[in-house]
Amino acid sequence: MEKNTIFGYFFSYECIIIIRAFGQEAMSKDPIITKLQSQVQRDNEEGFLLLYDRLFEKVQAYILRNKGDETEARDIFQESLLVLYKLAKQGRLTEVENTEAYLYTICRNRWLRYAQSRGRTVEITENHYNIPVDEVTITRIIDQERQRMLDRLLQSLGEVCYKILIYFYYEKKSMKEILDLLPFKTEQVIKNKKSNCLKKMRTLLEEYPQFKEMIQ
Amino acid sequence: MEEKDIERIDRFLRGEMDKAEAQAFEQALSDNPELQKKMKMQQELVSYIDLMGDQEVLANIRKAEDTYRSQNKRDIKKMPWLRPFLIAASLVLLLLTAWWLLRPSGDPDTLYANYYQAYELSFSSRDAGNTENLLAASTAYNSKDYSQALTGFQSLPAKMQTSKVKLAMGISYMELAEFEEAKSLFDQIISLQDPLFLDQALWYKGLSLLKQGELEQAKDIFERLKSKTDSIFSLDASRLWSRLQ
Repeated sequence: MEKNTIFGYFFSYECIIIIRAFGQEAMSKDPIITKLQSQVQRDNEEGFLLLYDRLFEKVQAYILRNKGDETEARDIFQESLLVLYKLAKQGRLTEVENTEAYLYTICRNRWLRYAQSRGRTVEITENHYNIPVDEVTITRIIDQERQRMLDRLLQSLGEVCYKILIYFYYEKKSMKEILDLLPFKTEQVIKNKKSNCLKKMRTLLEEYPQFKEMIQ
Repeated sequence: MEEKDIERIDRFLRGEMDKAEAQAFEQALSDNPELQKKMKMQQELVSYIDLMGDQEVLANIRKAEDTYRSQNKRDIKKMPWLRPFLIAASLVLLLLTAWWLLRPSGDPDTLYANYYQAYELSFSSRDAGNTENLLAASTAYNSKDYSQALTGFQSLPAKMQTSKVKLAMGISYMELAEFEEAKSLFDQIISLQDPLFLDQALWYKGLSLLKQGELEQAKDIFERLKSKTDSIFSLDASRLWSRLQ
């Protein structure tokens, strides 16, 4: 990797973070993972940007070499970042030693599956990366029309309900962790609120059957 | 749906039940069509929540992508007058690139300086066995105090001298211009064929050879890495290999 590129800048930036983190906490985690785990959206975005800077060019080059095009490279990279994010949020990346290599492997595996499902023969080199990567289900990137429907659903649900459901079901947080993040007094209050939110969501889905198409 | 059923289903779906409880729940599920229905409804709701979460994160990812693209690319559509200049600049660049590729091989020292970058290593709790020494050595490594890092890594017991530690030691030797020592460590990793660190070891061995002027051997290594099209070093190895032709 050439030093005088943008990669060089982020490597030095990253080094500073690592040194700082070592000072604070023994056996620190990868700072990118910490950024993805943060509850602050801006931190998440910075984590994604660092990964774009470090890896997107390489992933795109790999996909172009292996019978893909630029749009496919873009989609595969986005989906792989989503997989990495979910694993990070669910605390399943604590043993990962090299986030970059891990993400590269996710991208490569997703590309192989995608290309093979479309009957494209992709050459797998004999010494390819063999890092065991975790799996997580993600939804396909959806079109604008469906995105609008989803926004309507979110609006009707309300912010607090949305957060409770996302924290509990999407990020797999415990009630105790949710209590630290939301202004509720006890876990029981959150449990009751969650139950009401689920009921509300069920009612909304019954009122708008077109939502059902989105997950099929 | 009764609250206690939702709670049970959630605990089952989140994998929070112990084995006996999970088996009992599965049994109840197969015996009770009503519970099956509730389970299906709950799974459906969770799918929607997943969909909502995924779309929000994807929107955030797209924002990061937009920032990445705007940092790396000018939007020439907004400046049509710039197009002829850009075409001319591209032609000049093409000619320069051709000259660059066709000119005699690059100077090894310059190539080394352009491509060498100490590998970033973070040691997680999984590496902890001799925590204090390993932590001290990694801190020294990340602070670029490579002599101190080497002393620390060398003090670790043999069983803790993993490929990762050897890689860090090899890079520390490179930083201290002790390339023979570095190569010997990279060779040890290469002979183990450790998939996690094989490519890194090959890359740094290639760079060590380049720095020492052993260009034919360096070329062989870069060619090997270049052919590993799924390697993270493939692109850089390919560029270096071309420069050494």
